[in-house]
Amino acid sequence: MTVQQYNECVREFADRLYRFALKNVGDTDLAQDFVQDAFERLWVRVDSVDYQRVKAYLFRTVVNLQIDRARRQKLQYQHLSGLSDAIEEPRVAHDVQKLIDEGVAQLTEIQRMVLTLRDYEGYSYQEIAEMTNISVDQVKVYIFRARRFLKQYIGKMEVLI
Amino acid sequence: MNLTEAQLAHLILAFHEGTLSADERQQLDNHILEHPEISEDLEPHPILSLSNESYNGPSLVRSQLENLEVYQSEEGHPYDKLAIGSLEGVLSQQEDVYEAQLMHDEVYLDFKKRVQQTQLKPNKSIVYPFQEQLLKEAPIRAFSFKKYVYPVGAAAAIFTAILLVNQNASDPSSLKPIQKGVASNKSVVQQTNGKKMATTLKPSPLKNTHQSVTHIHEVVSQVPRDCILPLPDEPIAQEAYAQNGIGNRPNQELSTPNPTAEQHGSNTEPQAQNSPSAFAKEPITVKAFLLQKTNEKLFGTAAPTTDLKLETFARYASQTVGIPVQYRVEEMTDSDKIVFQLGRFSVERNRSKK
Repeated sequence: MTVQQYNECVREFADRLYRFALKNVGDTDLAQDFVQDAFERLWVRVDSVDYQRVKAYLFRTVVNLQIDRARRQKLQYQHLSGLSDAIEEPRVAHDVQKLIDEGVAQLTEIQRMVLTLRDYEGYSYQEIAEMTNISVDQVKVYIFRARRFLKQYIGKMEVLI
Repeated sequence: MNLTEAQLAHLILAFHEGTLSADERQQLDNHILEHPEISEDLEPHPILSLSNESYNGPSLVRSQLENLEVYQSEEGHPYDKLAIGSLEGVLSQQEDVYEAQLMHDEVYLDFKKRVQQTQLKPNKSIVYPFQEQLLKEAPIRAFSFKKYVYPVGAAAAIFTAILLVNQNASDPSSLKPIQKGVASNKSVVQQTNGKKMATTLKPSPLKNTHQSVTHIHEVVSQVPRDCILPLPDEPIAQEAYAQNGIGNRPNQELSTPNPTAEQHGSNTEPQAQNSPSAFAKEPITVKAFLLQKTNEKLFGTAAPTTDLKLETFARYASQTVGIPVQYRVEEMTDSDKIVFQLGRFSVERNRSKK
């Protein structure tokens, strides 16, 4: 891959990677770090990475970074999530998009990841399975459960509102 | 006349359909006279349109949906499975038929609407703020050495073999002519500079080599930088040998037209008379010098012919590769026959003599 192709990848995928990472981790600094790490790894292996598959390589890198982070900080994450539930203020959501954002935030890590890969980037079940190292059937199940949860969450919140 | 409800219904329907017989019409008229309130039933009935004939009740295919293929392993309402499968585009043909039958089911439509709301849409306003920092301007050193390893290694081996063969085959004294004070008879460089040296170096009765070294520096300061320095110890050595009989015996073939040399050795005169044409040449460049030296190393002569080059390359190739490679020129009466042989294959070509 040439320098020009690398720069094209930056312009093409940097924003998309950032949105994907931000949606999953919910932290701008962390999402920026993920994007930077992904492109640094790409630059290191720029000679060996095929230009046609660079998109999958970048997203797979960010997915792996998320998984690694989730594994490292599992206990801390659980503690923080419990703490956030305790101090959480009553939410007032007046539109469906906000409800969906809230619902997505309550999905499990893997459900959120496969759903964003599916909806944001339009990856197939097979491609998502390869990126996340899980089976195709498991990908289907995660997406099904995520959608069902979101649907129920939207309906429940609308009733409450 | 009193009619039963069934009889009255029959008469009214027959009236609307136009199949009322004369007796039935008489019965209906008599009944209307007695019961005028039924005349409202004889007014035209509303005509039912096709759209109103569609079934709007609960779906009848619900039992079939229990056997959906999509998300079969997951527990959930069939409508959820069907709606999510439709959104994901993974419904089978049969499931598409089921969904088409449910398109008027408000319950299913509500399911589907809510499921479609779960489709995430990226917010395009969110952009990575440091995109410019990721761009690279430095060129990538993408040169791959792997594919050049074997050719370069083979070339290096051939070159080394050539050097070794030449060193073994040639006279050791010719390898270091300057040190020994003996000029190689193949060096055009030394010949071309002979005149320069002869005109620059004044014949003087030098006694030792130390003085000759001093003289070299004088010569160096006088010649251009890009010229090949002459071998100053050549006439000096000749003089020393002629006068004192010390030092190495100079090469007689390359003796210069130095008058002092002519006085002491009669055997140098014929060669000295042949050399002025070579000495008349201008000093050659570094490039030409290197070319001549390389030719001497590779082919044994400073100006090899094409045939000699080809024969030498073929011989080296044969020794290095292990495949018989041969190039030879067979002289014939009116032409030369050039034979090139590579393994079992050989190519012959006639070349007219010049």
